Amino acid sequence: MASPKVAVVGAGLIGLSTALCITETCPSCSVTVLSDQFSPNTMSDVAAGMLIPHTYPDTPIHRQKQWFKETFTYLFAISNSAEASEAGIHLVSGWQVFKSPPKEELPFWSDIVLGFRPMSKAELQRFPQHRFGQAFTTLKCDCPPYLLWLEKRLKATGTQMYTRKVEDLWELRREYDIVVNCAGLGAQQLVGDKELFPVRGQVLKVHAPWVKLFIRDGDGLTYIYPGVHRVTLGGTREKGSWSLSPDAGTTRDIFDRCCSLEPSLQGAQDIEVKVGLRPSMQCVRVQREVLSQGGVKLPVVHNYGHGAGGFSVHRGTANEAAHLVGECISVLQGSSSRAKL
Amino acid sequence: MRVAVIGAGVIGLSSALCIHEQFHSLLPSLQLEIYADHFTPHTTSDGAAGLWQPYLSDHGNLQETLWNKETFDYLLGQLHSPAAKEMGLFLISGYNLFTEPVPDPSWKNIVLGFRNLTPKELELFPGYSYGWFNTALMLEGRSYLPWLTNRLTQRGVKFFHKKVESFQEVSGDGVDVVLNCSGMRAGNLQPDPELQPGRGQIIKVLAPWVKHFIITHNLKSGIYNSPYIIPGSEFTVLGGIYQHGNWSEENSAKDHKSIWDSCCRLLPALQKAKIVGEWSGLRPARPSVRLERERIRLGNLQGEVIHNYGHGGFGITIHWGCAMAAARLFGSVLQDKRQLSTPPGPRL
Repeated sequence: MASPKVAVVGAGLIGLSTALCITETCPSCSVTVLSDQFSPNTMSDVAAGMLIPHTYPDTPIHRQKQWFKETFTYLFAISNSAEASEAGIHLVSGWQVFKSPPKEELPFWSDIVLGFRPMSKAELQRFPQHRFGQAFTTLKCDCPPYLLWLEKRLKATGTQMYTRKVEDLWELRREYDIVVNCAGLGAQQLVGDKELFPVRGQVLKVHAPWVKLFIRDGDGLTYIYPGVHRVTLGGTREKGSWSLSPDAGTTRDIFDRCCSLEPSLQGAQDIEVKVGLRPSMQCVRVQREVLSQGGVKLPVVHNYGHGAGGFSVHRGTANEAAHLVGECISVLQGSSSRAKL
Repeated sequence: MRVAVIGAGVIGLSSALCIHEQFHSLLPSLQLEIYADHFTPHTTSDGAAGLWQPYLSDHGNLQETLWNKETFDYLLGQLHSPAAKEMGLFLISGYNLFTEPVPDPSWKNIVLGFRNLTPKELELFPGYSYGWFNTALMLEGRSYLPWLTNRLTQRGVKFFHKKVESFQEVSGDGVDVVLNCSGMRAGNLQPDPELQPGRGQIIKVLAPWVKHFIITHNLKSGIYNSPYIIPGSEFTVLGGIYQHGNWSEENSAKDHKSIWDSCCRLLPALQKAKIVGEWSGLRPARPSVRLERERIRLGNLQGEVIHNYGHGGFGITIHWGCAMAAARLFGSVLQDKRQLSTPPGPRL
């Protein structure tokens, strides 16, 4: 197989980063990205893009840690390069505060982020309702810039990108040798995965350029994440809600909760409300599968279900998916050489 | 009782406010007048980035360390007030970088979360092998000076646009206390060979992805003669010039190149940053701050001058501690004149 043809379904964070990894690990592949939406209209564009991992209940911790470490290392290098501003990647320091003691004193990612330590008493005094806290420095990927930067890198490798709604993976069998499923929430319909469910998140993106530190409540519901141009205020975690319409009462509630952590936000301007649906599962599905229909085989690599933690693990899962694509190619090359005998 | 304040930078305005806050109810006749040839946005304080950070060493000057602490604590207390945004006050974290280990600074317990840098953090800054991380405050002159001006105007303080050539000029006619907050030009009012310009130049750029201050130190070339990057609320300040004895307020092309090249080496992404301005100013440098009373002949009468100048590159850092000290000196002047039976209680 001279030039395996790989179709990547999905052009959000996972689709684009997986496509890029495939071009890196398999330069002879011809990669095409197919999606009904591209940045700035993907679900990923709504997210703040903070590298603070979400813990998947059914994925082994060492695997999550490896994914996070690879992602952090990759983005750290970009943040330190001349490309940082174009890619929208930047370091940000801040605090995670808890009203009641956190489940773990040292989360699995504490030695990967920079300078992780408990907050001092003087720092905690800024948060009279909270009694514990962690201070650290991490990375933030602003979207759309990061997704647009990934698209630019892909185009430079000759990767084609088409707006196309894929209804069924089998429709790709004729034109492609391998299909990579990065359809996020779309996988529910595309491959009939009943384990996948949305967790609705509403956020406000505001103009408050004096906010230089992130503040996050350990309950994951209230957060202030300063981006390049806007500060993301959040949020909600509504399990099972498919609604993409902003809710005015929720907006008010998010704003109030964030102002109680950072009163100067009262002066925030230009409030934009956005809604995203986190494609959630008990574990991230990074897996190889061979679909079979009437004697015809279709190798598929799945990479979806990143829920609330997509940005934190994207490069790690993309690497793993690219590796699985490599395995598919070996199998195909093995069987095609057997066919030649 | 009329008090003339000379200078409308951060020192003049804050001293005036502090005195008015503490004494106006005790002294109904108190009238404050501020004289200056430059007002915001054209003062030295307006050009400063506004980062609260003292020099590395206090040279044993514990008084100044205490004034720095009083200022930080005061500002920290204002952070959650509705005025914070209008004041140009906000929290900021960042890095101080060195090429060799150095002793901890006098202010390590004043700022928040002071610690040494980890090896991984130092990877961000090739060429630097040691450093600190801490969270401090920004107080942007461009916002703070107008805020102070508004507070003073509300209190009935009057402003006069005038280049004052002598203490006598503003005194007489009921003015028997002069507050000398003339900064760099104090030498014009009374010769002071210890006061010298510490010329600085800065480049203003748009680099909104930079969220930390980064201050490098070269122990051989001295304070602020090594690149620094300080992100503000509207633009980021690039600097790294300190020329002792240079009175020029013209931007120098050589200094521009030095700042630009060294800052871009420190943060490569700055190469893409858009330059939106440039400025030169003179830090009013002195071995120590001059904050003291002096009896002066004002015409036929004896008057008092309270000097409050020579804050070098740490005026914003130390301003409120000095303002309160100036107010205490004013209280002692009033006591001497028997205007007050007892001085007001200590206030932080």
